[in-house]
Amino acid sequence: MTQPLLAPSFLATLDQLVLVSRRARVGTFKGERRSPRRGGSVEFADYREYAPGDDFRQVDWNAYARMEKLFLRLFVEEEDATIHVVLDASASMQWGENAAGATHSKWHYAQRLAAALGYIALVGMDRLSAGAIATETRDVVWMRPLRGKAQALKFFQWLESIAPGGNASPQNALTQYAAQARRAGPLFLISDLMAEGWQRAVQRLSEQQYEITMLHLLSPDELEPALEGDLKLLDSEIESTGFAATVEVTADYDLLERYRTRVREWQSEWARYCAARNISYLPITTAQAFEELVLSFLRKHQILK
Amino acid sequence: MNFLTPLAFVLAALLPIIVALYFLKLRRTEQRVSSTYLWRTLVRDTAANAPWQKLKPNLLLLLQLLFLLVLIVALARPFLWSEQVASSHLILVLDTSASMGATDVSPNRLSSAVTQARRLIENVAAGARVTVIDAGASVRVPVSGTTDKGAAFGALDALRAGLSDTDLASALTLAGAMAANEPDAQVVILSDGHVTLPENFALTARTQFIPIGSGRNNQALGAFTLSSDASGKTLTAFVQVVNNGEQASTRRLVLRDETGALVAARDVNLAPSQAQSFTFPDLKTDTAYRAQLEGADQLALDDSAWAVAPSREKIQVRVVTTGNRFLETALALLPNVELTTIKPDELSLSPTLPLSITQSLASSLTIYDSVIPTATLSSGNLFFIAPPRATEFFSVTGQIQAPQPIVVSADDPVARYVDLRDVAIQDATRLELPKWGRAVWVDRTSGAPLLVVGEENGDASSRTPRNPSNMRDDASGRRIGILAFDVRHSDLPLRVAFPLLLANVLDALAPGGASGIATTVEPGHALALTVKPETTSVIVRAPDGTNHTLTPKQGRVAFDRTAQLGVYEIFVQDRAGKTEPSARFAVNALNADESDITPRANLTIRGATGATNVELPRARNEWWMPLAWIALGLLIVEWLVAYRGQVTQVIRKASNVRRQT
Repeated sequence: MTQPLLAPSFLATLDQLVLVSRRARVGTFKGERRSPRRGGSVEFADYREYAPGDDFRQVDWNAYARMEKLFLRLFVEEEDATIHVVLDASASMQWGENAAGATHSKWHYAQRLAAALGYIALVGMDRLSAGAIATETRDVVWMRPLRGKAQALKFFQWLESIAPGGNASPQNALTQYAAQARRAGPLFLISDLMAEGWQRAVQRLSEQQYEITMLHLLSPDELEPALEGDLKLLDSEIESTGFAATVEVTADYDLLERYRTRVREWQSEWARYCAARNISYLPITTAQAFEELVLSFLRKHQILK
Repeated sequence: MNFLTPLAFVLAALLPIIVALYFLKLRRTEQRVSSTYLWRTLVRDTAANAPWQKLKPNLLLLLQLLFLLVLIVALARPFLWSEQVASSHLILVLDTSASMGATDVSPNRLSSAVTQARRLIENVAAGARVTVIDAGASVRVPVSGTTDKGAAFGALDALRAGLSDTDLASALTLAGAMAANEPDAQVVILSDGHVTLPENFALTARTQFIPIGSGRNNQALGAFTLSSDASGKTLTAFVQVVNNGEQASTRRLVLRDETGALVAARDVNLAPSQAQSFTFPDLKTDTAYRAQLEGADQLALDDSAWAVAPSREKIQVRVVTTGNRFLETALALLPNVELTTIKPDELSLSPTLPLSITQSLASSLTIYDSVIPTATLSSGNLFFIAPPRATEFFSVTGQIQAPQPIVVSADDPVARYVDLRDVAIQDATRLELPKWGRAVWVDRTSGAPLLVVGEENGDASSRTPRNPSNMRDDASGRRIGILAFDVRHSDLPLRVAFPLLLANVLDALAPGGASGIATTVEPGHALALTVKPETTSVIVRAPDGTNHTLTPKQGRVAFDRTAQLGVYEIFVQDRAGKTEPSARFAVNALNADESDITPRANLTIRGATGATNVELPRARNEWWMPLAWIALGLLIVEWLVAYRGQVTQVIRKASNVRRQT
């Protein structure tokens, strides 16, 4: 571990940012997010007719004077939210270290992205739950939920402890993760989506009230492969498990053109799929400067503010 | 399609090697990718067009194979024979003899030859020269070394089949001389092959013979003569009909007089290659006759002939002999002969014959039978039989014992019809062949002449027996004949050949009877007339009525406009302006050689480069150049296909740069 995932100066910048949640949720602790519950904040929310047993202190006496009826003034409750960060740690995520335009592998990029998002969540007094699926050894590893900025280092250490390189079914892994997570909430899924079953898995999660943001991470050479000649393509993921799923291609101009078309179709397919389920879908390449991604790209897409 | 270097096809062995290399190359290099997920779906998507997909990687292979194939074919240097004649000077010798008028090929042989000649000229390379030689009875060169094909075509179109045979030897000699300094000159002979070339005729130029003609169905009049009966009051016509065809044929022979009135007719049935003779006796003497074969064959020219009555004037023949019954009897049998016999001792008393002024010198003949007079020889024509000593005209060098006579040239009119087989001769005078004469018979062993005929002070060496047109227009030409043996010292007088020989000799030495005019002349040939001293002009009226007026020079005139067939009339005009008919002669296209129209496939000319029937050296159109271009194009296409990714990028970059600027 030569370098921290995020530079301290960058962390200071992240302090200013807040994760945007599209809906209010019930939290466990008092936090900084609107909760559907009525509570003790100073922000007026609604009136409600008095019912026996209500706190008299909340009765709006001015309204009683006008209408001779008892109404309660309700205030917005601010609670914490559980922010989920799920990383795809499959073997294909290790790709892209030497790809043109990218200095690090997708995994490294994903780690940093997760670190940034997790840090922002911790700073925002949210409960941070994190998981990695398809690690080298297990289908899914998860982190005990953390709260508070002080826990950031713990989170970073957990991120760095993950050994990627597995080949698990995303559906199973995500189901396991969801079963473990006690509370649904905004979920950031960082993956290259290069496996069968992702759509089913994402579908399940969204059905379980997760507010998913899909960060689709690809390396530049996956978008524009620099292949040439008659090749036997070896899948880094499948090969690692001894599964023979090689593809023989003659990489000529036509095939590469078709591949590029296929990638674009694939991405727009995902975009459509996500749009239909109220999932934010953000295609990201590792060629994008990380700082620019976090400070500009994610804010532009209203993931952060 | 032919190939200059078919060995190049050995390179075709590279084709399977390329295919093998291609499959070897298809052992794909392994390449790790993050995931084959997308690739798998891609391949699955395109699996629907699998055949195309399978073919697609082979496009390069296909292009490479095609390239190699085209390259190999180009290396094999394919070519097509072009119709072009590879020659810078095309010398066309067209036979325009009578037989070229035969209609066995449509419309006739000459037209066919002209068509072929036109084709040759059309195919001659631009800038090459063309010469057209018209080989008729005389040789003409209407177009010489022209590059103007139009002029050559014009000359070809102007050619007409003649009426007589061809002088191909002269034409070829001329062509050879033209081609002598041009190594790639090409002499092309277009002929039916019916030509007579001197033996061992040699031509140094590159020569090709294009045979013309296919059929031989021709019946011809072989001979048509009129002869007076002994009485001189009636004529007998002798007609010979020859079938030169391969099939039997029936024709009607019709004899008409000058006015066209039918005199006689006879159906003639002729087996192939058969000749039949007919005589029509008791004909009137005061008209000319025309014999005609009715019906059609492939050569119409020889189906009719004219004959005029022989001169009624008699040949004055004086025989100086000690007594020779054979000779006297045989001479007496000949018509038109007025025979006078003189003993040698009487000769000195009358050295010259008392000739009337109306009789021309040409009509007189003196025969010296085994004697040479001590006094001067008589004027007029002379015939020596077994001369005991030399004279001013010839020299005697000795004796030959038991000579065996053979004929020098079967065409010689003197030797015609005379059968020499088994003729026994006891002895003969050994003669030197005089400069003026030609040997008709020679001794088989010694080669010494036994029968010599010629015209003194004419140039005998240039005069072939068939071409008396070379006869010089000299005044004092005197015809002389020598028979080297005494007829009494042989069995010749006992044979039929003897009177025939005498008749021939008389024809040769005193032609045409009294007027010195032959009754029949070959078309185109010249005719020499001897006229009386007081004659100022001679008018010859051609069959079409045209009058040709000739002025005699030293008592002789020559007439050569005998191109029309038919009967010509000769009128003589004296100083007083009195014109009277003198003689008539017929021009007939009867020529046994030309009537036999069988085309010959070969023409043997010695010395001609290569065989005479080889194909014309045609130009070759080579094809390797376009093939090489195609191969280059294929190579470029192959390269573009192989590197189209890079190529598109380069193009894209270039267009971006342009857009930016």
